[in-house]
Amino acid sequence: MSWKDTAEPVLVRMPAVRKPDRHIPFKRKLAWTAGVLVLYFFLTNVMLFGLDITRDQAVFGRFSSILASGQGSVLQLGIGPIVTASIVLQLLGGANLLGLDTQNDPRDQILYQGLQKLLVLVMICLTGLPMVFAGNFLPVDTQVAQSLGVGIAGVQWLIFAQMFLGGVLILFMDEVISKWGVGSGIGLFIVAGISQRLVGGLLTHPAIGGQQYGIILTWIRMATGAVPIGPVFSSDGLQALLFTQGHLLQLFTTLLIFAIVVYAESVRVEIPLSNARVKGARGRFPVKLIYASVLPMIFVRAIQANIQFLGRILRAQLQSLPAWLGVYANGRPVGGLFYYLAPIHSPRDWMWFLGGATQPVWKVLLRMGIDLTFMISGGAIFAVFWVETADMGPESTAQQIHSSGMQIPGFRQNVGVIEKVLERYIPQVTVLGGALVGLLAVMANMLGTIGGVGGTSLLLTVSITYKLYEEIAEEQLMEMHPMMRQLFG
Amino acid sequence: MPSSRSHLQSPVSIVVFSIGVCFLVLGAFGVLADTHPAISVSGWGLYADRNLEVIGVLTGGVALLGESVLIPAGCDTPPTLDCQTVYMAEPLQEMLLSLAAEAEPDTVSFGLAVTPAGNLASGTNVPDQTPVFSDVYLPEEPNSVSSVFGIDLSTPPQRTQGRFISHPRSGLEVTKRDDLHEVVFVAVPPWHDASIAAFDRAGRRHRLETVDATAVPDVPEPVNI
Repeated sequence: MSWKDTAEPVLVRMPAVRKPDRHIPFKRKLAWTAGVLVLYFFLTNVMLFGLDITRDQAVFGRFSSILASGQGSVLQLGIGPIVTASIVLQLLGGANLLGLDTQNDPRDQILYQGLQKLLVLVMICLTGLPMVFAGNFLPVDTQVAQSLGVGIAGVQWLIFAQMFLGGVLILFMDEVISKWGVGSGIGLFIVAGISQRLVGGLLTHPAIGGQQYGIILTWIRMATGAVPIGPVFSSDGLQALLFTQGHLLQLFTTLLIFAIVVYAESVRVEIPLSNARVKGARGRFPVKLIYASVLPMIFVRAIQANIQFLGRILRAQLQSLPAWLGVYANGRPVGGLFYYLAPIHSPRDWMWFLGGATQPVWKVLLRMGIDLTFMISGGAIFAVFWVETADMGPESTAQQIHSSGMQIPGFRQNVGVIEKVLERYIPQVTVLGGALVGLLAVMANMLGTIGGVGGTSLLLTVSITYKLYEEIAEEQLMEMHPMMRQLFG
Repeated sequence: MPSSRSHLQSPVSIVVFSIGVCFLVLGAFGVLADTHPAISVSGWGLYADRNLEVIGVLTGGVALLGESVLIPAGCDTPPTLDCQTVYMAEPLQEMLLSLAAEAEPDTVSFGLAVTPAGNLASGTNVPDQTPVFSDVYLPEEPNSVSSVFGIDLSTPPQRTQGRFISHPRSGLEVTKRDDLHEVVFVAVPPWHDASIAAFDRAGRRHRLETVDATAVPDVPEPVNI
């Protein structure tokens, strides 16, 4: 009896959003999408009951935007569990450990979908429980504990229950969008979260809950003299304009990364194809430069976070940590191996000339070099790892080309031959793309971006928006309002 | 359409440029008011005035830069497709019809790209610059990246000007269920030359002419197999 037979009764009973039984008009698709989006923004503002907001710590830090999580809200976990579950399933499926034939067997397809949902629930628990019960990331409001009379542990379970509910809600919101809306929920929530931060970085005001003024408001205040920066063309004025109050560097970095990503999105290698039966018929198979998307960065960042986590554990366990291993101040490494291995999150971590870093310049430069090397080489290595493990490499691509009846001109119509030719393109493109994504992520962190969104998040947002644009522009244009039709050409 | 632009065309650029001019004028007026004793009104302080001028120049510059960078100057390249007559290479048509026939009763949907007639292998009687549909892009299949993000991020945006769709069960027309494109080719059984037609996005029919020309195949460099 295989695991499939054992798990089938549970997996086939996982609740699912009903599929539409006929074509959905585009206006209704937009309405579903807008409705779910409003619900998402609403839920990111429903704060966890029982949480001490004054001591709340940013658990994911800069990663929260890519996970579309609302810090301290019921959507604290964001799409993290869904993405993690999908990654785990893809890797297991790619290594053929599941034994599911999702292409041809309808029963396996249903089992796969049920398994994915079950894994998301497991991931919600695996991510949520340590967040609430360990590390004091989500501190409990003691007053709530006293007034309810359930103790700290009781309130912690209450917080976890709310997070669990939020995680389940986002899972079904994603499914609603995938079946009844435009694009995918995951993509939509990432774009929504990052766009919110970008707009916030430009326009926020202390009166509407922002911690400081947005860039545009700061410029207006600088222009009206409310923020004194001195003469613009003096060194102090330029420094203030570029690095501190003016945040021009952030604006330039964001625009530059945006431009590079838009360009890189369209860079591809086109593999020429011909048809075995029709002489003169020509086809193309495009391989995109950013072939593995931002997935390599998720792995690299996870490794970096785990190294830092190890440092904290060692520091807590060992009475005195050797100086070569790590010197800590205010819970952050300021020297030793763990300092050099810590990723750079913002310009303050390295801009010694602005008084940001207190370490000697050579140490700062060494840390920058290590971060850069780690991200670029890690990006390339994990891109190859993903492509090879999750069925995107030359072998499976060759199979896809062969089964479509095409062949590579000048070569025999044989899977092995096609694979040999593809081996000249796909690994190289994957390595280059992975390294480029790593470089962009480091650049964004080092120079700073509007609203503090990372390079990985910006890259993902641009890619998703471009795809959504394509989907809207190409597919359902006929049903659109004349204004929208004009907008999409 | 001219390929060079002598003035701002995008409404956004015009608004941004106007804001820049306003800042510059305000700054200049402020400087004048602060420095010229004959003017009774005072400005916003010399530093603020100069900053306003700088912001004005920068904003105007951004508008001009945006106009020249973000809006491609060559909107008309590749050449605009003839709205009345659409040309397709004969081998491509033959291949598409055979692929559609093989896939029946399922539908197929392929992106199609054009090549200028002058670049095709054999001589044709259409002008050299006329775009002729000559290439098919293999359809996007779900992969592991699209499974994680729910959206296909590993396939590049295709530089296609048309799309071929088969209708094994419905008529020779564009329906609301179809993937639309600048030019939509619809084919129906029995998959003969007469059972394919070209339409625009709104479903208006184009005249379709097949060109007896073969595209020169790009052959990759030989590899040791």
